[in-house]
Amino acid sequence: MGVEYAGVLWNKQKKQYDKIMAFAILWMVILFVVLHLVFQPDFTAETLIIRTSAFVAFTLLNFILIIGPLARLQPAFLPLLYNRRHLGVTMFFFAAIHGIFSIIQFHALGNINPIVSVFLSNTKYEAISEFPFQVLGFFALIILFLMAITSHDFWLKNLSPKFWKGLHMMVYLAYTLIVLHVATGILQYENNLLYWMLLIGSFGLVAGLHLASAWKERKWRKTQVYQLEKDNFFEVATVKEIPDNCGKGIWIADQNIAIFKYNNCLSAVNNVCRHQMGPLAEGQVVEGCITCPWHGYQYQPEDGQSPPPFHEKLETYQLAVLNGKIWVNPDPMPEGTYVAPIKITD
Amino acid sequence: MSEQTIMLILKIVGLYLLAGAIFSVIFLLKGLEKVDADAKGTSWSFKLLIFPGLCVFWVKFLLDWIKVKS
Ligand code: HEM
Ligand code: FES
Repeated sequence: MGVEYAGVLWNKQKKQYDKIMAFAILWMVILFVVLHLVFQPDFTAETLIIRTSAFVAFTLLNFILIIGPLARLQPAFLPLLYNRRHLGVTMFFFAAIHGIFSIIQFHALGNINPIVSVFLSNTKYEAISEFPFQVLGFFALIILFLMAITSHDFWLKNLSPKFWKGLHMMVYLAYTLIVLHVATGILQYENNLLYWMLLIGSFGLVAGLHLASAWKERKWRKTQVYQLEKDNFFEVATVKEIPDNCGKGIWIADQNIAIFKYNNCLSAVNNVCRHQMGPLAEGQVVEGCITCPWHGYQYQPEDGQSPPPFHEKLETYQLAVLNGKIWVNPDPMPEGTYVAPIKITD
Repeated sequence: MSEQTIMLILKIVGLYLLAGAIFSVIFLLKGLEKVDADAKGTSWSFKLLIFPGLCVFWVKFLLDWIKVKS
């Protein structure tokens, strides 16, 4: 599917989320500034700006990263997933304030170019306690910048979903760089217990939740052992277990497949929505089209194509029905290939 | 790395982005709708939003535009 592009897509729900986000950030700022003034009152305004924006950006980034695994472990968190984009762009703005103010504060006074100075003012790359931690933050900020400027759906389509996804997966590289940046940074500036606890705690939470959701997914995949008939068809489900106009997701031979039952027919397409990887099997067939549960992109079940005038295409798969059992051939047909729907007799 | 090397890299990146900015202005006015039909009649706020990205990924859109023309 694909809707015409608008600037920022705000609907009632998104406005609500953005309001909550704005309030949460406001409180984070107030909390941090007050605590800082109470415990370390003799600091300049610049330092306060640098530290507050760092704190807000890092907190938001941790929050953004735990949304994915949380939603996989507990579907009640899914609405947060759909509203991650504005969080990401906001996080970038705070990270940028932090980076720019740091460069001005620490590097703009000398007579070499401030960015060159980030790289050359400290070159003790072999020392942990004096490591040039700002370089790590610099590269992380560049990744966050590339992600922020490509966050609109226009980019998903024009850079191709594969490239876009790859670019946005670099958030994990950025996160690693930032954790190291903060660790080596507080080692030099603020070696106190509270900072270490916050850093290790948030990293532990992000890593732990990712491991837990990967574990759950692996367990689920292990239950997906199918019997091979012949000609590469596997028995994967019964006709009865899929309600009308609904789908079932299966994982077989590294293929994520959605089988749909509609109009007394069965069809199978790739389970990954071309918009933002939404799970199509959890959507329904509405007016003859598979409708993604996340943002409503639509696909025709028989050929995996979005109805005109849209141009998204999914891979399709061959099915067979025998004695009420559904068999699937996990070799994907090229995107948009027509596969005749299987009539359900009985 | 020496100061000269870093300065050279920065200058190349800067020139690339500057060329991108000039291209992007022309592209937003004349090419966008031809390369991506979904962008027909979009608002200036949308165009402003994709501008920074165009400055970075402009070469891809230049090639697309040439392909559409020929
Ligand atoms: C150009 C890029 C960056 C530069 C030059 C930079 C510089 C600095 C400096 C100088 C400090 C120590 C400040 C102080 O304690 O007074 C610091 C700390 C920190 N930075 Fe960065 N940074 C950059 C990017 C980032 C990014 C992208 C993040 C991501 C959220 C980040 C998060 C933090 C955090 C959480 C701290 C520790 C809190 C603090 O002491 O302020 N930095 N950075
Ligand atoms: S992921 Fe957005 S519509 Fe499917």
